[in-house]
Amino acid sequence: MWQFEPTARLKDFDRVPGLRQAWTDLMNDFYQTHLYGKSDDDTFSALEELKKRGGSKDDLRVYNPSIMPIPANSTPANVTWSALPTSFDELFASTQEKYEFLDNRQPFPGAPQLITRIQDEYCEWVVRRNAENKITEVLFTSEPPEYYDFLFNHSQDSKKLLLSLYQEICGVPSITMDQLTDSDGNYNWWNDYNNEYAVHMQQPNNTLGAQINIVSRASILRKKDSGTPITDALGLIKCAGYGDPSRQSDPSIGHAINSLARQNKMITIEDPVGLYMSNVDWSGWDTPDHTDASTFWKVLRGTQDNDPNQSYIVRASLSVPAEKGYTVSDLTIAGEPIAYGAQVAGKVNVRVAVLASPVSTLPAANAIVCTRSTAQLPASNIAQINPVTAFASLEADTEAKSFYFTRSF
Amino acid sequence: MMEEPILELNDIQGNIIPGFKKDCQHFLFFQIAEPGLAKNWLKSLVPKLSTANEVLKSHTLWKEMRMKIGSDPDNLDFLFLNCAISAAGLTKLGITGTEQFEDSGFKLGMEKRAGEIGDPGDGTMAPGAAETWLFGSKSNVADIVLILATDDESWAKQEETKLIDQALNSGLNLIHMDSGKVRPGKFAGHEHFGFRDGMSFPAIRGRVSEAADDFIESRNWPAGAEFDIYRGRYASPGRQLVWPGHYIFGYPRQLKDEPELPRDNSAPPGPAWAKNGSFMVYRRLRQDVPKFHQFLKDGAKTLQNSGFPSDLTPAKLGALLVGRWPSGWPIMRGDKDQGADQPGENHFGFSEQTTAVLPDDVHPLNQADPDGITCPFSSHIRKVQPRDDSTDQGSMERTFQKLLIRRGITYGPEMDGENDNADRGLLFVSYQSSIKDQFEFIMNDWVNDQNKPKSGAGPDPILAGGKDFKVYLKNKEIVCPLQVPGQWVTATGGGYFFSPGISFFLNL
Repeated sequence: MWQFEPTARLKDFDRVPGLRQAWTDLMNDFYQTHLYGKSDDDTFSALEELKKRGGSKDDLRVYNPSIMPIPANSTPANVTWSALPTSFDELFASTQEKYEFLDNRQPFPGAPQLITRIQDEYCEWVVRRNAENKITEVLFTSEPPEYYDFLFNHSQDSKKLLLSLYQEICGVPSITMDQLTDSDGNYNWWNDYNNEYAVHMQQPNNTLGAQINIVSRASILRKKDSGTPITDALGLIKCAGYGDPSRQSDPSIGHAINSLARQNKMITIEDPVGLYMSNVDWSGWDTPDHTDASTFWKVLRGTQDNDPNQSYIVRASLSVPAEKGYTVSDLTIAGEPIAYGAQVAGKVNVRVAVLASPVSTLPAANAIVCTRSTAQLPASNIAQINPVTAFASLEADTEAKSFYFTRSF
Repeated sequence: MMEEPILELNDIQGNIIPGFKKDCQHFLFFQIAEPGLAKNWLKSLVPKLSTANEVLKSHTLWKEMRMKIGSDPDNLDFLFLNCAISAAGLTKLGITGTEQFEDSGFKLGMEKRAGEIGDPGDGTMAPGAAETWLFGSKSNVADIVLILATDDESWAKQEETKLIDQALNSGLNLIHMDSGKVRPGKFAGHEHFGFRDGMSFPAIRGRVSEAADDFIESRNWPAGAEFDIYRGRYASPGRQLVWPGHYIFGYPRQLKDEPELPRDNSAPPGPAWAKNGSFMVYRRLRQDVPKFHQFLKDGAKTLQNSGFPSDLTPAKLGALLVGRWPSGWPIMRGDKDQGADQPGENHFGFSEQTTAVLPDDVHPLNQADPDGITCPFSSHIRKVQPRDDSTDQGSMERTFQKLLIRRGITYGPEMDGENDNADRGLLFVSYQSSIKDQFEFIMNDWVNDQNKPKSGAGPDPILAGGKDFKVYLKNKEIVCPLQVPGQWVTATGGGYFFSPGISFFLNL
């Protein structure tokens, strides 16, 4: 019986009987939602998209490993990118302005009432400073919000575990459940402690749902009206509307997955499902006493391996021990003192992995015709998208499907 | 299609565009001792500084002469001169405004950025560490570089002597000289490992005049609808059209993922005097030719023992690691070196199959290689010019903004026996409007990173600064790691400079 590992193979679930199985059920539900579709859910799945365009389940090349055994000799394929977003590069005249913007929570495009971390490369950070405004710590998280949603919603025991985790992660034993809950009694991704300690990702698109949706829908073969296959990264993401073309990650992930599907390989997301920090590039770092800067990097949740593609880091911290007498602000990268967390983020790599089978003996999948405009979604349109309904059916608003959310807020 | 800007070719220095393209290039590095005198002397150089316009005209004349006589003309030569100044040099000269540049690389200088671009750290005297450089570190950092270029070495030396004499009498100290020379005979255009170099350049967008199609870089695609997919983005096969602001201050840069379009108000930030200038990177790269060739012999045996077929010769391994055969013929287009100057030598992609056939291009076109089997993801050309591959940056459209204008030249003697390890290598020169986002990005994120632009590749086996790392080649679909000793290309000096417009010198 297949069981999904908890994200990053974390051991939290061992504290509550039944949670591991419940997590497996949740992952199955995610696959069902994003890959096959659910009648009671208006999320547009890969199979629903295929059927709408004349395809069928035979054209799917992504599978849920709990339904289909992983084929022998399947091999991992990783996609790596930097945690420092590029989406906002052109909005700012200077790098400093951009770093300042990225280091702080911002109104979310399309829903300005939501003040959130804006970092959109499946890795978020917060900067902690002392009274002299020196950086004492940069905290990074790639933990998916669904992990915490799951704990909140599953049972009273899991809810208690959620609270314990918050108290442990933040080092604040006085945190109460009320402080993690919104006025409607729901778990609040943007609670003060998550805002301050980066317990998990909160940018609305940094989710496991987004990951599974992108992988599932990127595996669909696509073509133009003329019959010409669409095979380039930008063409695919514009056509399919999975993810955000202005990110580094989404077009790269989509291109890699589609390429495997075009080779008629069967694809599943690496278990444990998640997006992981893989390593930090320490080249060019220096410290006042020439201590190796990498000794100041602590993996707090998940695991780090010498092979970045075997690392499953979901929480880490860069801070200097007090006895050193200096702070993160006194470290330099390529001669530049660290003034922003974004500088560190630029050195943190993030990865996602899938398992790809050898070339399948199945007949080649059929490509569906792209009906979307492949013109880039103008920035002005972003603000018009209603994030609450943006994950709704393509029938309603095909353009809005570029930006999706797993929950309303 | 957006109209391309007219470039001020009488102000832009000629090695930026179109490039000197001369057989001898001498680089003279100075420190400023007396700023007042130095300033006056720099101003006095103005009539001698070669503009883009002059160099373009000279190339045209040279080509016409070659057409006329049927071979490279031996009765026509030019002597070109350009000048560039470091951030520290600008400060010494009392030039204000350097802080308005965004580029932290330029402002800090190469020595402080050495770790970022893959050089070993100081303290161990490791080959390539800044502390071992012939110049460019400690008290030996250059403020000013002069570039002299001609086909006639004796003329270069004669002019060089004059310039040095003048400089020494004008408040400057000579701290280093490099003499680059194109290799002789059949090796012309090849670097010392034996591979033809400088084959794939971006083409700068821009016009010479008001005429809509009077482009600085001509557009050379054959007629035929099958080439229409290339016309808006490439000047010719493999030559991306890049907006001039990625190289020269004062001009627009690309709109994010739209190589055909410029972005409004996107000229690179800098002081007003930076207009028509460009950042210049200089790296004196020593090549250990015997070590590299020994590695190819050992590596081929290792791979054969791990299952690669017996036709994996040292030459084939070299081609896999470079991405091209010694003639420049791309490994993507076949297992055999088809020789130099073929019409299709730059007509290939990596991710996608090529289907449009160029006239007289008789060799099979490339098949799609999305898994890095034909051309490994770690191969030099796939690392530094990923063409149609998506990268860690996203879609291939973003690669356009990373490309460099390279103007390097080989230096040092020819090999005298296979174990000769004399000082020889490449004088690497690149122009860009952001050292940080272009040169340093390529070195840090692509050349030296094991997982970028593609995961599971390993660093660039030719150029990476590390030692004893692994690259991953594929025998069909089986991944074979290859241990690479590395460090056959090591930095022995260098610097970051700004190559201003001619008017900058006039206004000194």
